[in-house]
Amino acid sequence: MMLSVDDIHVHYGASVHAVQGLSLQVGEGELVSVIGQNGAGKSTVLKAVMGVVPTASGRITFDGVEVGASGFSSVKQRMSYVPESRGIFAGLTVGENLRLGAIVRKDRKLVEADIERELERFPVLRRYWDRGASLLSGGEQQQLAIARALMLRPRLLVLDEPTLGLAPIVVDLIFDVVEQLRAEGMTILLVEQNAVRALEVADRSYVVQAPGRVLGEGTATELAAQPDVVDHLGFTPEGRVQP
Amino acid sequence: MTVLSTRLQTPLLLIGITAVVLAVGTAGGPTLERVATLSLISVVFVVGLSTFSGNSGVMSFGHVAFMAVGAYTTAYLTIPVPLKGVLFANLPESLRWLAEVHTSASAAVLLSCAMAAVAGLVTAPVVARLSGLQSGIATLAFLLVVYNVLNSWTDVTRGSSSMIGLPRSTTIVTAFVAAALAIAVGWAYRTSRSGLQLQAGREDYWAAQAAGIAVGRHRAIAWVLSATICGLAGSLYASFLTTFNVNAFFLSATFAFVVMIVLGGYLSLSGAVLGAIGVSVLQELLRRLQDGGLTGGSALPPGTANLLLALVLLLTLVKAPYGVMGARELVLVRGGRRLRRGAQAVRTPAGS
Amino acid sequence: MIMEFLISAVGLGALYALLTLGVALMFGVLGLMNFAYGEILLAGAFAMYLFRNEPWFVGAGMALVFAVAVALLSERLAFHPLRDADPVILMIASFAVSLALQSIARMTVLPRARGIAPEPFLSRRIEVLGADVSVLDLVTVGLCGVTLVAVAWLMGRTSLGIQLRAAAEDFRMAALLGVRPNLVIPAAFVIVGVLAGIGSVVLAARQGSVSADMGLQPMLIGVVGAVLGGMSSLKGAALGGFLLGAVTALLETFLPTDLIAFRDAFLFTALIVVLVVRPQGLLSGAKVRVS
Repeated sequence: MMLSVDDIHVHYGASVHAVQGLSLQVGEGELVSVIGQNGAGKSTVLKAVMGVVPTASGRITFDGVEVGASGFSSVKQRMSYVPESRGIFAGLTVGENLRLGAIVRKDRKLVEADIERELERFPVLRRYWDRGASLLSGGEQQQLAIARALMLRPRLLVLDEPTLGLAPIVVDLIFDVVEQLRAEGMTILLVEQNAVRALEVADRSYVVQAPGRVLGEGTATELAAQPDVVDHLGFTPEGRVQP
Repeated sequence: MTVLSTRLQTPLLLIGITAVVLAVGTAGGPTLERVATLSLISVVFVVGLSTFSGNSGVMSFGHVAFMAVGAYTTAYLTIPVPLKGVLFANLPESLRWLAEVHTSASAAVLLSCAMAAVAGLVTAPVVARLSGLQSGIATLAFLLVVYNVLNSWTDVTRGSSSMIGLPRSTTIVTAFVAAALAIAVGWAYRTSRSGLQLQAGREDYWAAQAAGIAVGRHRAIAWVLSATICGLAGSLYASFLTTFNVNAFFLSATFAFVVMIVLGGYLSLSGAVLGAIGVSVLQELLRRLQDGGLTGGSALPPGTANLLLALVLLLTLVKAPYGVMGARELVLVRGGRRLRRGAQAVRTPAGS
Repeated sequence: MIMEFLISAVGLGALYALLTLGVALMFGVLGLMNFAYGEILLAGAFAMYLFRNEPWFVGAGMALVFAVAVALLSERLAFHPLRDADPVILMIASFAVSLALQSIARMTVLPRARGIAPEPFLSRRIEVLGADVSVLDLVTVGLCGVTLVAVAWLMGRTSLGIQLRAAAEDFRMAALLGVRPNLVIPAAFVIVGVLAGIGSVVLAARQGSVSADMGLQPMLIGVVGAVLGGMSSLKGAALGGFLLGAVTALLETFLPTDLIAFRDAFLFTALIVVLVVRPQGLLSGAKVRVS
């Protein structure tokens, strides 16, 4: 397994025990989604993976190496993170935001090529290249955040609620991009509140229930066979249409 | 022990400690008595500051302004009228009455507290709205405004010239009584409904708000109460020294009080009292070290005492940012002096 | 007359923008409201005094060296161990650093104010576009202007600048992208040291003296300018500082003398009002919320 999260616990302060013994695995080239209701602890798991919040116990390994507690070590392991807040720098231009995604890379020529590739993928970014990022709409900021994350040439892309609060047409666009990246062989860990779409697009999914426990895991078909998962979701999962 | 006496242990212990200061000051010579009296006045001030900062978790750099309000009020009310005619020859027409008014020493103390409370009331709406660093900057700005007015409104405040000729009405005993009173009031507020709700807001602002606690309103209440206590400290200070200068109420005084409250632990009332006494003693020792009186050697260059004080504060911040006491209070358990953890664990208040 | 006033107003504005930028940079990158900023400036002025008998460029160069050295030392010794501390704890710590540095200055050569004879050419006046202008004002405009342009270039056009701006806005996100704290924090202190060093050269020339407490006023100016302009954006802060300087020059020329004494009271009252009503600053647009 490329990413292995093993029985982690996360606390916020003394009173909130947000994640209680959660485990999940992501294999190379896999698209894994984590779904569940608000407050189930989904985002907290991602933050723990990225070293943004410390774990009280348990292990997180990437390629067999324990993930460090600082943001910088995740960059070294080539993990890219698109947080729920998107983390766009409003005081920087679109172009500067994009370049910041490759700040640790030394291969300048390839960086320029990658910029070109992302501008092909997200044409709106080319149009606004020299504008302040604060002028972008929510959907455009989300595209910028994903493009910036891809500038690292990540081995694992971690997406936290990428479609939250976006217009339906932009939601479609984001899911198209996610599918396209999967087809390119990118390994992706996706947290989504839109369970139907997430189950459709993912190879495997984890259904998480408050406080941060896994209720069920598997492909959409496997999950459909688990009565308490179906009960919790309120619908029967249907997976991608296999070609 | 009964529940009641357990709850009263901390204030009684703290008053006991100030009584020791009183005893030492009375038994020693005039120098020691002076140091003891000033440290008791510092206790009054720091307990006042702690009534706000300790309960709200919001640091204030502006409380010295309330001390100034108390000191100037006492000066206007107690300097003999004939002398005032000389000191304030150029009073503007509308404030002419200031030169005529005169009260007893005790009335002056009460009115000084009242004036500080009014200053607190005027500024309370600001404090109720701000937290963290913004509050730190705003309270400092408040001090700068008061200092600027006192320093520049020469006709009324004598500007940078000293206030002189106050009758000496503060003795070591009145300073002790005031310290004990401040501790009692500070503790009563801390354990009151408003104080407890404010502490809940300190631990987790949004959770407290969500639970229906108007953190801002309780912050304002604590602010006005603490302003009143600091006004008392200012009044005592003025009528102890009988002469004072506007520069006594500026940054170096603020710094000295901040050292006291941080060293002791600004979340705890015991920390405030211990910090005020401890740092007063430390300051006196450093002063004597600087003068060469302690080592019998030659005097060290001026500034040495302040440098050492600053280093002590830095070391405290790095090693124990919540001071000696953290959020704990002094209590007696089965005859031995022990420390009991406060109701809640020490956590960064209103922080990241 | 108008030309003369304009140059002196622009000069004061540029100087204040310089001071404000230093305060805002440290606040942005570290969450540090640095009271010791004034003493970094003092270190520069101190060097000017020490090297007062050397040619002026030696004194000015040493002012930069001293200011940068003190800025880096304060970071290493005091702020580095407190890197994860609450901003208020940091502010108290900077209070302590400020007092410590001031005390050291008092203990060594500045127990009281010392005069520095200004370079003779600074006190001359020359004719510019038909107006009689003091060389000191022109030098202030030139030096501060060049510095501001250089900072603008560094911040806008270099990779370090982009990283600093990103870190100033959202330190955690910047770190997640690979911006190194151990690069940007010392870099910020070096830039602040340079800004303070140049500020000290200008101030020492304008005041003709140095003293242990000379850092207080410039530090407060920086704080006011930064809060007015908006702490989170360096551009806003610099603009806030510039306007503050220009308005100060205006007030000093046109306000009746007995009200000038209360300038600080007005200024800090305005500061409190801005903090309550518009904490993002007067000049920055509505802060973008992307969550």
